[in-house]
Amino acid sequence: MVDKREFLKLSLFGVGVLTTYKLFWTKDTTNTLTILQNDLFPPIDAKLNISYINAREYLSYIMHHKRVSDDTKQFIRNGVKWLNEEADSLYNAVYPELDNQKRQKVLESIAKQSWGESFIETILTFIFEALFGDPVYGINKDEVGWKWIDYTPGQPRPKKRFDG
Amino acid sequence: MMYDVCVIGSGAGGGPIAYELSNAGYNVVVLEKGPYIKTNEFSKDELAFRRDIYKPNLKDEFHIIYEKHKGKYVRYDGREYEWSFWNGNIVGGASNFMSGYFHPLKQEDFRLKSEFGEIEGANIEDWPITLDELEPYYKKVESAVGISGDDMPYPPLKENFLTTVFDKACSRLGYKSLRTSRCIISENKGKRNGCYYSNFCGSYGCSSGAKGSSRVALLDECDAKIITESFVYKLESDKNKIKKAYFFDKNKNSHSIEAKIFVLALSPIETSRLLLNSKNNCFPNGIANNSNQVGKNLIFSAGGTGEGTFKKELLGEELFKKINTPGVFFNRNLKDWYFYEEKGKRYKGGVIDFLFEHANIIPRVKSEIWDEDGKIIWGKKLQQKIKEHIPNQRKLKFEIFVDWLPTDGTYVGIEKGVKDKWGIDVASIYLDPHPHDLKVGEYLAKKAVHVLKEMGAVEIYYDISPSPPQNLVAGGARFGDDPKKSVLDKNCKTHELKNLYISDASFMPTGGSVPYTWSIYANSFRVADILKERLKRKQD
Repeated sequence: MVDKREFLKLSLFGVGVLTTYKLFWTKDTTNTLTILQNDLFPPIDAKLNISYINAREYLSYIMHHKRVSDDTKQFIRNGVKWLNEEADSLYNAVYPELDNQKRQKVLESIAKQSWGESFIETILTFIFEALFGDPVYGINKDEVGWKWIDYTPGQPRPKKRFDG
Repeated sequence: MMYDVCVIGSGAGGGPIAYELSNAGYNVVVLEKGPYIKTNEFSKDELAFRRDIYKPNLKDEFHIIYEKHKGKYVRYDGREYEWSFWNGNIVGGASNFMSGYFHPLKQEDFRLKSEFGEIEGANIEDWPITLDELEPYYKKVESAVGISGDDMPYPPLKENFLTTVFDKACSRLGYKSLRTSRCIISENKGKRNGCYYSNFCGSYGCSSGAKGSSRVALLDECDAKIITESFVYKLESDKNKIKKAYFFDKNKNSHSIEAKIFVLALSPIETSRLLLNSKNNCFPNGIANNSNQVGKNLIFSAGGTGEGTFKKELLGEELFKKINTPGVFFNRNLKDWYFYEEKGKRYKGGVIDFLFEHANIIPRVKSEIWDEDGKIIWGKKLQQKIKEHIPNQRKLKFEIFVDWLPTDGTYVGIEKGVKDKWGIDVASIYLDPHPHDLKVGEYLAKKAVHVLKEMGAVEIYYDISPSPPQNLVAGGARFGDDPKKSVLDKNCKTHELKNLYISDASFMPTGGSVPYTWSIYANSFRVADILKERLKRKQD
């Protein structure tokens, strides 16, 4: 069994090379993540968007969830850092400072690397959780995600969220 | 207080013992690591399911897994790799979360070695009992736990239209389509309501009590005392008998229980762990382990999976609407190749279960993030793919079950010095599947693909894998007549101790090529009868 944890160990080793030169780190990691979430899942309409479904707040919740592994949390933190390093190496600026076209180029570049592909997958997974999880978690407001794909949730629905 | 019987673990292996003996008037206590969750407390919360709500947090309790790659074991820490072998630590155990595809064993499964001969590298042994001895207890499960299907006490569950397409396809191919019996009642039974077709069955707790969990079917129907949130960490014995079981409550206060008879049903990995961790002067290698058989010959029920897709664009609006009806089941299986011949040699094959893709939406959507070339996609391209695919297609899956052969390299050990939150050494799980499993799985998968093609499915693929499913585990304390090669006698009593029995799936020397649960329930009812006789004799 080899999964992203194995990759994570390898990539942590690899990052030593990156950190030998100028290290960029946005002051606002959350800002980078929000822009990234919007790039991965751009607004469809006034409700079907990252802001309305509370995907940013949900990711913050996940970063403090007892049942999410420390490796996953660290990988997200590292991913933000590496994303900005990639942006810097391509355009000499951190990710949030780039225009949409350049951000897409950065994503295309990291997607060719195993850590980058895994990072995009991880962020998308938590977007999907915010879009298709039960609104009891403060997400998927008005059940917009379910309505978008004509999905019928199972009954009974949860009365309270599970925080671990 | 001295109990007549102390049962450790409350799943399919423990429930029948508690039910039968307490209803026969004996004083029974059940020690269960998890809490009691009522039927009306279960919901279909996919996010809670994804966070393993009813399993221990891997940061606290875990296993160390050694998987053989190219002749060498590679070590995986379950915490680090999020590799969990827990199944549901609540009253009723994993039976709360089973899908309940119930298949009994066939006569030949009890005599695999005699019928099919030895296979090099596999430790196959015949069972010390025959189907005739287990048959009455399969029957008992049908009514006591509740099974629906053909010739069952409960009529078949409602089925999706696609089953008629399947039946016709099988008929054209000359295969015999079989309706799968389910451990889900289709009509009310006492306090339990019949299935309400929630569309979220396997992996979720049942909100009507239709699913035949050990909790709702047995423990709720008897007066056995259940002590919840009690983790048994050690057994105390002399050379003949277990004297006490020691357990921690949720605040890590230690307690002990005394009983005339102890029955272990923690599930195979944890049953072996408890025995191996309970060393003393009489049993320096662990309780009942003077022949070094405890933990050995662990087996799994698995073989491979596959799927085919049915698309609205190919079927038309009306037909697709019928197929896309949620809730009702696809209860079909094929056993045409339970035994088969190839190049003049007779083989033990297996069963192919057909079922709909699970209703969980997040993994379904997530499967869309890869394009045809296997590259990750995002943005509008991904959104368009999700919108086009998810509402307009339905996947039919198949699961293959072969005899996952016992080997020297697949067993349970103790990871010395690596402790869980209780301060107890954790179990190590060694995995070295036999290549024969893959050969049989491949043979069966090709037959399943024929059926899917004949049905008109597209995008068909399969994956034959020796990967062990954490929810279908057996062996580790096999029963047999030879104490040098087995831990238990034919009555599931340990060879070495007079009052220690094991009634979970640990007893199985081979598992048959089916999911185990019906056989676990049946054997536990059989052991319950043996215990009743024994206690009755003592009273007389």
